[in-house]
Amino acid sequence: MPAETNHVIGQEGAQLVKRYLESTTHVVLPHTVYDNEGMCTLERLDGKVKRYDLVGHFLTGDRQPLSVESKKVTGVGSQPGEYQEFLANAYSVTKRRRQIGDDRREFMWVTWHPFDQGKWAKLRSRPAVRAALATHPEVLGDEEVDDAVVELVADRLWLVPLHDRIEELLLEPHELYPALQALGRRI
Amino acid sequence: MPELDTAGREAVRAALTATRSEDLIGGVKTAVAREFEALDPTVRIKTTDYFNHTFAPDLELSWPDERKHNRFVYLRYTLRAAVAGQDFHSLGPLSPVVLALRDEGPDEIEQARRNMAETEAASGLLATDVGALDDLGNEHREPNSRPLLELVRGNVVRGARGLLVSDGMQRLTTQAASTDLDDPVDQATQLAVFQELVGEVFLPEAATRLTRAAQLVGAGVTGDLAPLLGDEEENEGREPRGRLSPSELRVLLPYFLRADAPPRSTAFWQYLGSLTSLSGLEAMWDVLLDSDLTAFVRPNLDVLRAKRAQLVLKVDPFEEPHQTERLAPPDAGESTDSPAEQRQPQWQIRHRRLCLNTDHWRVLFTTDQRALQGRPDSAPARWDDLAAALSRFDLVRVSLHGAARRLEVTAERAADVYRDVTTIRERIHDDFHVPAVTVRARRPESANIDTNFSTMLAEPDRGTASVRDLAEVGLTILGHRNPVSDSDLNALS
Repeated sequence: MPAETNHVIGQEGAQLVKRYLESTTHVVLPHTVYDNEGMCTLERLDGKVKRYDLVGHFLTGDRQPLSVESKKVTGVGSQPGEYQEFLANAYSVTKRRRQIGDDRREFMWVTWHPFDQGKWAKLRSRPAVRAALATHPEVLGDEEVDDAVVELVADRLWLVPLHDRIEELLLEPHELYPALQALGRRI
Repeated sequence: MPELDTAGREAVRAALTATRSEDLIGGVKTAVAREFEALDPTVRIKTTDYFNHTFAPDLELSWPDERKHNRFVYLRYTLRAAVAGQDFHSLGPLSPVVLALRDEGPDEIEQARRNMAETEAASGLLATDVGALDDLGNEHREPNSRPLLELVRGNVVRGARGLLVSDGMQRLTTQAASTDLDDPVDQATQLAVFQELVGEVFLPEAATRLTRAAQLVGAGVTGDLAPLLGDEEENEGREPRGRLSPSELRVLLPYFLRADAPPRSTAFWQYLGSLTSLSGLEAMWDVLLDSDLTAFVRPNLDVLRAKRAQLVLKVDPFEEPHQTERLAPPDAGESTDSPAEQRQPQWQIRHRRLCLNTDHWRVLFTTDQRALQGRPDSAPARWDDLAAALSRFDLVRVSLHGAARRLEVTAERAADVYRDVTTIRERIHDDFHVPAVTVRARRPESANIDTNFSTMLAEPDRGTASVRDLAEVGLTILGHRNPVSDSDLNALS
């Protein structure tokens, strides 16, 4: 598939993720990587950077920052390997962010097709994070694995399957905006 | 009037380079709001907390003359993002503005055009970008030369629809700028072309308003108000359709006042007066600063109503005490009028208020009593000096301060008050001073007018009074020490 087509599909997918998540009224995602790479980029422990498809934060709870990977795919494809990278990056970014005082970020993987179905229930576990770090030790830089951070990251993972038809269940903007105001969920 | 931001594109571009999300959002919204205000100074803008949100708008626009109408603005990084987010479909029923922050290439614009054409729900939505608004603001920026372009410019954010970027915006401004209503013979054809253009690009209410504004421009040339009055008769008893808004009036009134051949028909100016009020004039003070308003005000002396007037002695006719309020070069104002011109009372806007200039006096009018506090310590009048001036009015109440007595004279019938005071004056040897007088306004339904010689204020005892009554009372009674000429007073009758 041409890169440009992939780009369009990816952007459309990210926009549906944005619509879906913002419609819950719990989350805002003002920046996507297609529009503003800088806002979607986070530094890892090894000094390299990771770009997420969408970036925002929760309007509820502790108003945690949220970084989202959107996978608008039609099959399993390379998701198992990419998900491992996602976990390793989540660890590395979290550890790096803790060093500069940002200790609350959550990470969400949204996919149009499930993968690793035999271990689906364990994909958000501490062992899964440790296994990812073993596969991608480069994300650690010069540091050792910190079990406390592994635990933290595993608790902050989201794994969300999505389908195009979800759109049919979403409320309309003219219904949602008054609801958002009535709920008092402000930035 | 806010300065036109000639670099809206650059301001947004700079804001988008911010590395902190809060800075980016704040910078972008400020730049966009400035752009909107430059295009339509009557718009009220409320900024929300959200940015690039799926359904929560970035800005909410409203207009003081149209309580029911507001318009949401959804900011998007690009039109491409709007298409990918299906914004035309989901936001279309709200008829909002979808504003792309970055310009895009022809392919993306064509894709947006197709997407919009395929989306029936988007018929009331305006999709545009910051660059196009920048171009709209700067195109043919020659004050007072192209009223129809100015009218279109002020209405795009409020009432345009469809995809207006690049060539589309260019076509709109070029056509509006080239519509020429000066030739009475060709006027009907030109009006029809303009009507078709605005019907295509604007929502029905805005298109009707613009058409009526164009008809008014045409009527200014021909003096024929029939097309405008005909429409109003058809709509009698209903909410007037396409009633001109302050946005149109702030273009049209200065245009007519400064025209090389201003409209001469009194009926025309009275029609224009029926569309506004003194508070409306005050709100557009910035565009009227350099205009002689006499042609407009004189036929509307009873329509324009104020809550207070103050009489100020013009010690030095060349004095300009509040120069900072003037936007124009100093040679454009009344202070440099030739002596011959000074002999005629002239209406102007000064210090954000309507002002009547005579040889010796300046009368300022306001709809907001707080805006005119009056002088603190002017000397009271002497009854003997004032009696002749008061004889021209029906007196309601007079305060008399003598060396030995203080009297308040009032009566059911006005003639009795004057007679009573005259009798008191004849029988009591005292030099009575008069700090305040209340007279009946000329028009029977109007309130009484209180005058105070200490503050040099004249004001109705309830509600409002016509500027005619306030000017006449102010100049004749408060200004009795330097009486104005009969011709000046006749200009008010």
